[in-house]
Amino acid sequence: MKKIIMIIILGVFSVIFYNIFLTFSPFSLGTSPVTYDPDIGMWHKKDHSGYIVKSCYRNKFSFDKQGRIKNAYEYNNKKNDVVLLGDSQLEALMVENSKILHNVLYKELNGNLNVLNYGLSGSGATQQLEILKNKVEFRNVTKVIHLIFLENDLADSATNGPTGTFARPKVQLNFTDYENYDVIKPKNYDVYENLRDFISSFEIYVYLKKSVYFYKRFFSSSINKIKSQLYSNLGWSSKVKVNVVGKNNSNDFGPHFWTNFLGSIYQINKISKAFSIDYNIVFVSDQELLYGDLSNSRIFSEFLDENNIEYLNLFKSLKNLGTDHYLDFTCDSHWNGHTHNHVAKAIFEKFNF
Amino acid sequence: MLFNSFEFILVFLPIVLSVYWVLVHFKLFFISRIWIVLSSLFFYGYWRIDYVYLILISVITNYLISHLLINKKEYSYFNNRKLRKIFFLLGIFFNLSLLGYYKYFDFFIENLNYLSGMQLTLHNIVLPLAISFFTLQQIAFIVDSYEGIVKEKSFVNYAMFVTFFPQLIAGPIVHHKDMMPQFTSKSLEFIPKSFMLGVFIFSIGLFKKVIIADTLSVWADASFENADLLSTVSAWAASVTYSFQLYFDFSGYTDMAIGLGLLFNIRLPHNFNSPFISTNIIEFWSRWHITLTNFITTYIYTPILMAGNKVTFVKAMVAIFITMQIAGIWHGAEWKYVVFGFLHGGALVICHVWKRNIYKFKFYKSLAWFFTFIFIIVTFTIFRGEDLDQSFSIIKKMFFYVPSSPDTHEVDLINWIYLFFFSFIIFHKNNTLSFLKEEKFNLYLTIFLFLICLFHLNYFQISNNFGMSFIYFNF
Repeated sequence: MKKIIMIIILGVFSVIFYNIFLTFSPFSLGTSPVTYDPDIGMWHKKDHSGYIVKSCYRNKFSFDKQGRIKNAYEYNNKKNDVVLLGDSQLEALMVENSKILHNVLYKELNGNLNVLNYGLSGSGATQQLEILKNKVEFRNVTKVIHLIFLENDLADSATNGPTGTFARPKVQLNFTDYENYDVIKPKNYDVYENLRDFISSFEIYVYLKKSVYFYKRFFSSSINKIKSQLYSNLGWSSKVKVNVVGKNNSNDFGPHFWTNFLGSIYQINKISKAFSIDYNIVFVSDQELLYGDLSNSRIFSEFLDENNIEYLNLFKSLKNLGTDHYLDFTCDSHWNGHTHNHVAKAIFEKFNF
Repeated sequence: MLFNSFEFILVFLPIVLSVYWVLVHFKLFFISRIWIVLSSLFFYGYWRIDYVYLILISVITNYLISHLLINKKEYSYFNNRKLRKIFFLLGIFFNLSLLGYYKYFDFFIENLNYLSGMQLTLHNIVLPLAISFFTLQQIAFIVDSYEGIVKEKSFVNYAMFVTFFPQLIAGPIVHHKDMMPQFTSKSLEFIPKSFMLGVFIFSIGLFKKVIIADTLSVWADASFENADLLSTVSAWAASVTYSFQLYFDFSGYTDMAIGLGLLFNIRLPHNFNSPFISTNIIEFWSRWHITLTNFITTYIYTPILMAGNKVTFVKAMVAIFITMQIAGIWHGAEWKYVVFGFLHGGALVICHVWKRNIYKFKFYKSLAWFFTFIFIIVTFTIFRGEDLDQSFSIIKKMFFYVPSSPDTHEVDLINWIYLFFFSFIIFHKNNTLSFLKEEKFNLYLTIFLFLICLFHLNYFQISNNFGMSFIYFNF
């Protein structure tokens, strides 16, 4: 009995030791960048720095006092603000800070305007509307630029909530039409979330999270491989669903997705107009970029035209860039610094500032 | 297959061990030895299957030659000294040719092209893993067969001696007279204490490699990659960091090998004995890579010394110098290893001359340690550098002040803190050897070290960095 207790204590002690080792070693994974937020569900930790590590990058990211992605310049409250909304592509934790879109755009503007990055990983247009309402101070804002990744944002518009072991709570919006919607508040800050916030301030949390994702993916792909091998040996290959690379299989968004998504855009435009702020959209459709399928981007463009929202479709620009350069990191589907630089310049050229 | 990989620790080792001890339990000793040989070949072939034939050819050829050399009665030619010598030279030639082709052929062509202006094509030969190690062991076997020291006749025992997977890839370089007697059925019995000591020593080695050496390697690599941007302070940090990394990497590997050996109740020789506490280079080589030192002393230094009629001090010094040149080039076909051997050979000669009291001046022990330590890390910088230019540029920065500035590559404070803590292990006289001698193990420390290592191996797995290889795998 004594030995068993000792072994349990040793187990706990080794976890603590490993956490300390991770924190103070070149293998640091960083702590979770987000914490519970009553309005959005999750928001960046304020005044926080950490590392994001994958096989092809290791980057230090930082957030400012408001939880925005840190500027590489000094904020000047005598200048007007440009607000950027978007998801993890804009948040760009893996990109060196000075190369992230908002900092490049600031340079393109010769520092005449403050460019503020409100990008949040895992958010869609619905959450970004709530970010605009709850996090942005409109006092100096003259322009909102909204980065849309069409299929991702459509998928994130569903109100069935987050899934997965480590999924954070998120605010959801349920639109009956573009004018009317219900806000489904994120769940309360319960014991589980309290505990998660506590654990997530340790490196071991990110480590465990990464491990769970890795082994889940590893086992599911291994099982699929074995199954398909087995079934094909038995002549039952049709019974296994295998995703074929290059085949469009994510174009099935019903009215619920579209209404929530377009409703959010409509509401952001409405708020912008109320504060006399320019609202511009920059979007890219994977269906168009990867498979030449224009259906989603056409619906969206028509909606933007109808609502007089100025927009930039990045299709051509990225297609040209993609012939000479990798758009994304090699181990990850997020834009690299080069693409951020390119998109910032395209935005600067397209819109009036 | 790496010792510090999940497939080895969680799959290969448990299977090999359990089958082995079941076979021993049922007194199937011969089959148990065949099982070890087959497992070792699988272990070797896991890296590159097409080089299994190479080790097989090497083992079979050497066995046949040694068989011809040791069998007295069966063959009448035993008494024919000339014929025996031909067989002996044939064996040495075979081993050296194998090593020469796979390890030095491209180096030779490169230098020939450079000197003659010719454009001979390089073969771009991939160095077969462990070739330097298993070739040395077999040369020793051939020499001792010729000398009449070897009595072993069993092919399986011979194959097990060469291929035994704990020592196959990077040593310790085992000697047949230490290994072969352990393969007898008497030695093959399960001793729990020995097994637990094995697990303990293996865990220490794994910790040294996975937690210490791999951590230091991140900083050392970053510094050597930015060699042009180093300041004097960061050049020293780079040098010391790499020296510590090399020690923990290699001694970690050796500890793992010794620990694994004990799991099979086979004792492998120790290879390190706190080398950084040495107060001169002679002492350093009696504490660093001990099995290599023993090998080169017995099979290179002594024959050179004994050649001819007279043994003189000058001749001994020449023998030392030549031996260290060979030891240097043994590490790899590059000029930096030649320079490494040259410097260590020179330092050994100076130490011996000093010892003969040619100079009456005696160092304080601490000063002697200091100079020895500096010499070691300077020569390890040569050992690590991409080429001699890079090494010399770092060494120059170590001794000619380059101030730190925003443009220089500086090491993190945490790097210094780690070096400070690891110094306690490096400069402590108690080491793995003490645990082995006293045969004491600590169950709780074993569990702790093993868990930490498993956590970190998982880290490599999830970050797509499938374990860092051992430095000595390149040799």
